[in-house]
Amino acid sequence: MLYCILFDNHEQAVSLHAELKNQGFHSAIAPTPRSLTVCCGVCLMIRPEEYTGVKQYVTSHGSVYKSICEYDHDFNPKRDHYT
Amino acid sequence: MDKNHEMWSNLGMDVETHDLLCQALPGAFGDVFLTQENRPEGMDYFNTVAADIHGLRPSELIEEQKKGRKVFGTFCVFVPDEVVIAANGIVTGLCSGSQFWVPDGEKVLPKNTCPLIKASVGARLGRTCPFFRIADMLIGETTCDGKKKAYEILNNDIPVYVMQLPQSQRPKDLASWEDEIRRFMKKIEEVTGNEITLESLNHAIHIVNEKRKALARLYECRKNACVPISGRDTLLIMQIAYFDDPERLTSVVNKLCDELEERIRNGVSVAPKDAPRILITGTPISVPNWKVHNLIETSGGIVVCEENCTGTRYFAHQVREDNKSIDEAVEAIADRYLNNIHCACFTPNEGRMDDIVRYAKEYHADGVIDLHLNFCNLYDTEHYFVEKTCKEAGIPLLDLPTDYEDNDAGQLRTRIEAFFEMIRNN
Repeated sequence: MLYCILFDNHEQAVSLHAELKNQGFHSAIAPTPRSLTVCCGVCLMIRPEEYTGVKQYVTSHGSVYKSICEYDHDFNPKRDHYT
Repeated sequence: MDKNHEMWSNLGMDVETHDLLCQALPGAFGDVFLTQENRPEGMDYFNTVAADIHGLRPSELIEEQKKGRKVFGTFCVFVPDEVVIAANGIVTGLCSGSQFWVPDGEKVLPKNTCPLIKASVGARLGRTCPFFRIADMLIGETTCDGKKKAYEILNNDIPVYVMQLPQSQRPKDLASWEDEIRRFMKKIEEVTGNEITLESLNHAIHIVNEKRKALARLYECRKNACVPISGRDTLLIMQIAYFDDPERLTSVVNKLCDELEERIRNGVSVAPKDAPRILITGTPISVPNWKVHNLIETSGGIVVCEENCTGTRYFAHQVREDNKSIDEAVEAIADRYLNNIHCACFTPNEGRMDDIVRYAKEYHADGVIDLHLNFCNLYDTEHYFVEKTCKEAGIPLLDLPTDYEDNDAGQLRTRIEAFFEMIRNN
């Protein structure tokens, strides 16, 4: 299970990524899973153990984003599904 | 409708089918890139571009077209970007690295054509790649028979200009290639409506040289015993380098290299010390083909160099700068491209064999993997010489023909693991 922060555009994602990094959170810039939205191609993925902290941060700092969604998927480097 | 879908729709794309590709990308990207530990921070830029690969750069290109600039889609390292840039045109690579596009290519091409050609043609004719829709003209080149015929087919759908590349590297071939570059300049001037001047050509040469230097610096970092960046990440950078604005790319790659050099000073490596160091040689690995790099690096190895068109052939050697006349600049461009890119289309092609041995030493490779796409007759056949060369040089070699499908991944993984076992036991 992961959490995805969704945005209206990539600039918002890059900006929040830098903010979260400065705060010591581990976000990753990634393609938005299409099961969540088709809006903007770029999202931030955050670890479940950091979800509460990130949520608190973005709420209290008025960060610009669209929504935060659960993404029920685990990445697997040996899944070998490339196409 | 969101901005990307609006753009794709305006480009006349088959948006519904294209959405299937968009659905596959996040999973593949996550598996290959987001599972890596300790990636350099400088990869953030490339993650962003890759995450919206059919959105960000295409929208930029369309904005530039609105200002009157022309976009030229290219397939190959032999097309001199300098000429296009000198006429204020824009060069973009074209999508060709996914099985997704192959069935549409097979509608018009024989099945026993290499997947790269089938995917290119399928991406255009299936209307599922924005770069192929945006390009005002495609620039082909005569580097293999499959491509030559594919360009004739594509030319029924979009203007294709084909550069006639000589098949050898003799002095008379160099003269012929210089003429070809002059002919290309005239075509680009005609399409863009802009004259190429000595000043604009020298400036374009400088821009592309700076990009090559940045990529060479990136590769230099991989020679170190401490490997500061994975082969997968480097491959993504090289793939994006074909599409991105050259000056921006130079800047972000140099910034990344600052970080990698710092990592080397601090002994930060993305691979264990005993991981077999692999030099890949062979056919191009175009976006989003990440299969073999991922197999290697999730089987205990680390890719330290690629001797191919999405590797060293793309950036090795500079074009001489500060030329005093257009003729001198054309000679400089012709020399860099014809005499220093060792493609299997040349006969003979001994320079490639020398490169493989030299790179294996420089990058301290423990083994070479000859990765060639199925039905690429030139590279399939040239494997004979790769094998002979590696045997004589005492370099362990694994022959790995494959395509874009997933169904051979398990078998390839087994062969790669056995190869690493052999290297470790040597």
